[in-house]
Amino acid sequence: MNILGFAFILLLHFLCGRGALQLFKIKLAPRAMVCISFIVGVPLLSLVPFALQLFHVPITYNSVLISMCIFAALLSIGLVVKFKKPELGKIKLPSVYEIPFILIFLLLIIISVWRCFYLPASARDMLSGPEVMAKYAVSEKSMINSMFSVDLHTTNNYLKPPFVTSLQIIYKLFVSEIGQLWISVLFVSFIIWLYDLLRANLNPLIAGIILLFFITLPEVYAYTYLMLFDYSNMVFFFAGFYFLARYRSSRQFNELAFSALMFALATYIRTETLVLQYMAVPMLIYFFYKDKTPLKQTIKPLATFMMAPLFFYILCMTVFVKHYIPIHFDVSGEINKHLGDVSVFFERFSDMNSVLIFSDMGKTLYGYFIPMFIVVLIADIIFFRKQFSIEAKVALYGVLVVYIGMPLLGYLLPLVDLRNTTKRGLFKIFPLMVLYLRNSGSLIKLSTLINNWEFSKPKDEVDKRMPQVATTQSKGNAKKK
Amino acid sequence: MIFKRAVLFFIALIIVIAFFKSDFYNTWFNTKILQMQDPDSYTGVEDVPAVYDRVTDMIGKQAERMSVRERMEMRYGMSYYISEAVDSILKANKVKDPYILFPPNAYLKEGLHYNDFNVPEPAIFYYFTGLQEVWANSPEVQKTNWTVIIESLKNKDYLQQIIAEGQKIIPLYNGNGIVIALIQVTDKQQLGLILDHYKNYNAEL
Repeated sequence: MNILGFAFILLLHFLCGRGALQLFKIKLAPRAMVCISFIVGVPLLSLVPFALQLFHVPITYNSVLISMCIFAALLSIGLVVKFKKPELGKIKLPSVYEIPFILIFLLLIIISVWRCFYLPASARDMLSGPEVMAKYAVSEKSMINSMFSVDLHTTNNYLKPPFVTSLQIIYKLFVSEIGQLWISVLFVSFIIWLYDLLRANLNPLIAGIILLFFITLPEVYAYTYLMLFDYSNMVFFFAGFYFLARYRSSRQFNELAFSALMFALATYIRTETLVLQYMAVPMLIYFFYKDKTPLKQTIKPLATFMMAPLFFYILCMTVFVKHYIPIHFDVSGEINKHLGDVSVFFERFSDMNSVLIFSDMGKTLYGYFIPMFIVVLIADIIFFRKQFSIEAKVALYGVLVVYIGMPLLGYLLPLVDLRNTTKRGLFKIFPLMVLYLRNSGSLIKLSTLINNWEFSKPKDEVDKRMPQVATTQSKGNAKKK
Repeated sequence: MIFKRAVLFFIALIIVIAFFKSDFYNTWFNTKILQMQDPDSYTGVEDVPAVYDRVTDMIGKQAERMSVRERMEMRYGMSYYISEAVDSILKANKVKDPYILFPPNAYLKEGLHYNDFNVPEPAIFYYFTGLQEVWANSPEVQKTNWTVIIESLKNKDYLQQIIAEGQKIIPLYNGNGIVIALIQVTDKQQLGLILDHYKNYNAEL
């Protein structure tokens, strides 16, 4: 492994991501900024080999290197112009009682990163598509290479968006022959970001328990070192909803635009995400209705929200797959021919619940995360129904989008099967549940009780603090406005 | 406050221990996290999973086998081993433009009841070797000039039938009553006999 090469690629990921955050004027806590910079930098950098292919520039070590540097430099212009010494603030050490959780998270992270580095790709979807395409792109300088001379009647995996192919090209050229470590960049940054989000609202004990349930989701954890699209797709889908919730609180257009970018990147990773993202549009329209926003003023945000992912969809499917892949593929041929028969949707919805979620198989795949979420949600509905924050509502809407949207995709596209695509598509629901849990009235109440006991505060302060914690963010943002 | 934090620390510790002592997470942690295939147990042709009790042992053993080839052999097992053997034999013999026919997976599973080997699909074989593989239903099956035979040793008649006189068989594996060999396909009649043998089996994944 080329460690220097990896450090260089990490720097480029960071610069691209940080530059994008600057461009969209997104301001978050320093650690969240670093994590999201790395996260966003991964797909952004992958656009480089993709662009080289689109412009018929040979994919060589030098061309990729120079283009990546130019791309990162362009994105970093805003950073340089408005350079400020980073405010690191006081470094806060974790509480002593976070240590058991942090140690177990570290163990799981180290094992995942090692496996990601050591084990070659094994998913068939990769070996008969993006991985083989990337391998021969490195030696033949083009994504359209000799793999298309092979009998491909057993697979259509070469029709996937070039997200993985491009990243594998970069990592094979600069890091190691097996590549893949970009998955660890996403995984580690995402886990730290999620933990930060939980810690911002909850006592470390509660935050640790929730993240423990999340990180040990058996099927999701496996895809932190098995190369496929779904983990990355989950991260960006979550980020889309997170920034949408921030937009609802702040009403700042840049937050909505960044949310659209996150959804666009999720669509770039898995094109069918477009359908799920469009299911979030009614929520946006509802926001405008509630705010009595004049119709004219809704056009720009709505258009941004809808056009950004559509642009990536067209780029991948209409431009790349249709005009570059030498094998003819007609998307319309993949759509259900009997859309009038809605029973297919209900059948899939029922199967998803009975086979994938509320079953022994569901337990094997997702552990006890879903029952835990349901118990907390019921407690919140019973005891704290008037204290649902904006973020909680947006997160619940996102959960509903995935819950309804996955069977809907199965109904629209027969290729979206239950035991593979739907099973992995459901990954998207879990971080949204985490986002809800950090706003849960019950958990915030419990956190406040623990905090007050820890810091010996009087009991009457408990009830005063509880709702404040729940709405800190929205109030803060409202002030800004 | 120190006392209270110590109490919280022990609560956190108990929660973590209880979590991983619960039936489900205990099984998951032991079977999926701590244990993994032992690289030493991989003999090249048999993908025998052995396990370690400690994850450090596993990582240590893997760290001794860092070449990409060793890692791929460990990951893909027999499919990779056979593909690689075919590749090295054909390269050693400087064979130009080989089109290699593999038997259908259904033939192995239903015809021979042999489940130790999954025929790699053409794209994956190309990923492993850079060579063209064809299946019985491939559009380019008539270009076949080499074939990998996977056959029960009991089917001697068939083997004699398809192997031309004086033709060399290059054995790749022999065990459990199954022989895997590479042979050159010299004429259409020979290819016809082989395809006829597979005609009742679906050449799909």
